[in-house]
Amino acid sequence: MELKKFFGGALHVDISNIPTYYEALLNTLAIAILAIFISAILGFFFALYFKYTIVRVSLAFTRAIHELFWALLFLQIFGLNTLTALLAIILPYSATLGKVYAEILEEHDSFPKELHVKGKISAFLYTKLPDAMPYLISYTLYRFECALKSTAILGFIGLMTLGYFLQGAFMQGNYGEVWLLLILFYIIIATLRFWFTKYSTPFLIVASFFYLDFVSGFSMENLTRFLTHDIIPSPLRKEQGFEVLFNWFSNIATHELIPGVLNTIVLTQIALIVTALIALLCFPFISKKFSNLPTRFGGGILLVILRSTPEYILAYLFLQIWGPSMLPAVLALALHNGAIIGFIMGQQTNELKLRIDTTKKKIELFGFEVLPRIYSSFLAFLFYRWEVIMRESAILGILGIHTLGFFIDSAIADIRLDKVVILLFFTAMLNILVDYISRRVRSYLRISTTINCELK
Amino acid sequence: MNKIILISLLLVSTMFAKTFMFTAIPDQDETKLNERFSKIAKYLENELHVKVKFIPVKSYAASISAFRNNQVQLAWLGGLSGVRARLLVKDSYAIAQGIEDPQFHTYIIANTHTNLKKSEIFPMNIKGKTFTFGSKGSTSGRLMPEYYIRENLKNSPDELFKKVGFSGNHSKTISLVQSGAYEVGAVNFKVWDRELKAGNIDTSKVQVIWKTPAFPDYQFTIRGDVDEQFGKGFSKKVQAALIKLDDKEILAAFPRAKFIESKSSDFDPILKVGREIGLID
Amino acid sequence: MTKLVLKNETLGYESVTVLKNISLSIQKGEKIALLGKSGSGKSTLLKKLHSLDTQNISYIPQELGLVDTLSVFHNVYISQLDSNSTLYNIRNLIKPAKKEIQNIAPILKELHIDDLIFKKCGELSGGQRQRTAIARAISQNKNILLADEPISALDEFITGKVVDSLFHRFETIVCALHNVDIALKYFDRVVGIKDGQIILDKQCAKITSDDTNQLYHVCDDQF
Repeated sequence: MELKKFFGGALHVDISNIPTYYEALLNTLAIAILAIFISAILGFFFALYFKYTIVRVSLAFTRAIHELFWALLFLQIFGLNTLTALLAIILPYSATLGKVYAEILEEHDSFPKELHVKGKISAFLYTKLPDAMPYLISYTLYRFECALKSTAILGFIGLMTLGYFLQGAFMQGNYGEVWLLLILFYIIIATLRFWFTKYSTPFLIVASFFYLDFVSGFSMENLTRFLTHDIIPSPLRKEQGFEVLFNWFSNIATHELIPGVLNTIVLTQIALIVTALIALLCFPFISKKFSNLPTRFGGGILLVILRSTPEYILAYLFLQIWGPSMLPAVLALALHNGAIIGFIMGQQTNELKLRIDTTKKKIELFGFEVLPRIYSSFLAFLFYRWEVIMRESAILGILGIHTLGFFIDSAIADIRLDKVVILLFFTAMLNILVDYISRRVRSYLRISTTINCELK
Repeated sequence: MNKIILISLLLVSTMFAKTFMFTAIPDQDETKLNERFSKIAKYLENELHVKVKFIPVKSYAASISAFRNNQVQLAWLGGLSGVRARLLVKDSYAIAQGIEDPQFHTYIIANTHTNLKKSEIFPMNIKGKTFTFGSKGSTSGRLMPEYYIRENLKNSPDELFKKVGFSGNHSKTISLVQSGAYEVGAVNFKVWDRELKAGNIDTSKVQVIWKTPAFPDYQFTIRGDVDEQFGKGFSKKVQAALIKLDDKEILAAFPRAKFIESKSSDFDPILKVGREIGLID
Repeated sequence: MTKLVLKNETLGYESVTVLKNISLSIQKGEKIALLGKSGSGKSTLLKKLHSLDTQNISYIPQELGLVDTLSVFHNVYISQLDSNSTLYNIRNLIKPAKKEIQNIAPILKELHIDDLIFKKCGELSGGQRQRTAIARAISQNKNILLADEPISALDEFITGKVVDSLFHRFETIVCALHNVDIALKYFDRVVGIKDGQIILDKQCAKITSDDTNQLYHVCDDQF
């Protein structure tokens, strides 16, 4: 019923609405551009000092908290304005960039030690940096695309970006408007390579800087109040003693933290398995080894759309259609992530060189020739997305599923920021734990891959 | 010397002529809120002779925090959100409310599939159904219905119902119960009555099954420091402007017959219920 | 000072022994070709020799050590980094100084790659890349050159030009090679490695085909 209305909405796209979105559109672009610029600079410096534990730990922590959570928090301090949006993107993004930049710089250390250059800065600039530069740039570009999505989504909590209108349109069932906004969004993402070039970038950064007003939201008073009052656990604030504090905390733990963590884990794991199935099912449709050109074209478009639509928007859509339960959340997470993995796998299979006399039967080809060859990288991708899925599982709680986000959202609705901070802390810890396990598993898998190679 | 200071102060204050900002809890469809509040912004601008701007927000919490952070000076709040805002901003008070607001009600509505019938006493048989509130921070969509549910069924909603949801706002609650996504819901009686009159509700699918006893709800709350920011007697001027408002179109958009004076203590029952349920510390 | 000596040295990396109990003495002015199959230990030996006197030795590793995203000019200028200030180095990274270009251009001309001075190394052919690495070694202005198969990708004509240039620029040269003919044609002395030992160490004039056969086996498809 609602699904029919949604697809029917595609026929009622009213282009004359576009001027209504100009402000939100420009805000989305300007915030994403400025945020990624600042994040890249910060990330670069973090990367240089990544060997210090304190840097690594703080980056892991800021990165583990979803940008929407950051935004909800900053909303309490700075209100609905550009500063909140910028900080919400910059914090997790600079941390992610810092980590990945550090990894890239480490990998690209190919200059022979025998040709040792003594001047540290000169050596870095002449040997390491130029080697790593193409990788740094292409990763930053990828992250910019993510930043555009994240910025758009910030509108769902009231910031004036594309998501602002998208949420309103979803809420009121104006699916024609939903389609129009989604199409605008896809156009921006799809044309990225044309308007975000090395020539236009400096201009875009400067223009964004002058376009945005990020000073007016700042109030020292509000910040101080937040840090010295709001986030202090209320029993401490009211000096009610240790016992009350303990009860306060154990109440949160039993009624919110533990159920929240368990639900988050359950949702993550189910979503991960369905992600794997979807990836395995859909990669043949974009692979030259299995499909003809028209199928690949159609499959490609579908996967690109699913890949470009953030989980949060998919979940929002499915929730409108099926009402709140685990199912829409699982489906949203699995479709988005499955499409990402399926897409990479499809491309990988195109590179595979098979014998000329391989079987012509598709299922046999899939099971005997193709899948075994890409299986370990498939697992690696899956474990890599594990952490991402968990971050998103937590955030989808805002939409009503009882994961950690649900309880964080409730605590914010009750203006209990002390509780918010505690829940966020454990959300971050859970994420760091999953990241750690995933890293261990991935490195273990890599070892087993090389063992397999040696056995051949 | 004093004169010079005074003049320069005046100059500075006119240069930075402040805009009077206000917000409202997003309790219904956005288009309706925008229609309602853009009209009243224009009205207040004419009456108060300052620039007036409406700041739309997406959540009850955001409207409270904007009020708290002095990003808005006036807010149209629910009973619960008003109490919360006034607890956070010590020097703030209620100034006006709709004439219907002291006697507000929540309707418990049910999808007709459930065969739940309208009754005068609390419908005990909603136990075990799926249930949706409005927003988490709503008075008529959350606080009061939860209060009556706990009082009559002696347990928390999470334990009583098969599934508990928060639709986000009253319009959405109606559409979710009408579509059958939830079997039972709690909705602001004003929103229901207006939607019904406008023909937006299919009564063959969704019906009112119970009406709560009366409780105080919506009100305009203002920051105490507006007199400092906008000149002496400013809050009185705002109050007077609201009470004498007789523009039929604006009143219909709320919908209220007229606005009357209100004071913070009118909402003490809400504070008490809020504390009982544990929504307020 | 220009004499390099190894006496009963055992060389290897981590726990793997590559060369066992070898002795080698290199006199000033010698031009030595180092021969042996891939993996015989030529690179290990060169690295060891390099560590004896890093001050006076220019070294060209087999993988060349070029920075692909920088131009030929910058890759040659890398050898000058330590003799200039950091600020001047940064300036040259952004816009090369005329003076530096004038220093480097003649070397590139000798090697027939002067037209490629501002081309990125990643875009060069194998032979052009080798000559860039050679130019970097030359621009260091040192007496001794240790090079690990630096001319394997050059054609016959260019090989002659490059070897001439190297002989002219360096007093002492030890050069690992693949090609026996080139070794015999240009160098004074041949050192051959096999099975972790130096099995051949003679003046070129005295080398017989038996010597080279023993080094590579007759049937080896390497030549």
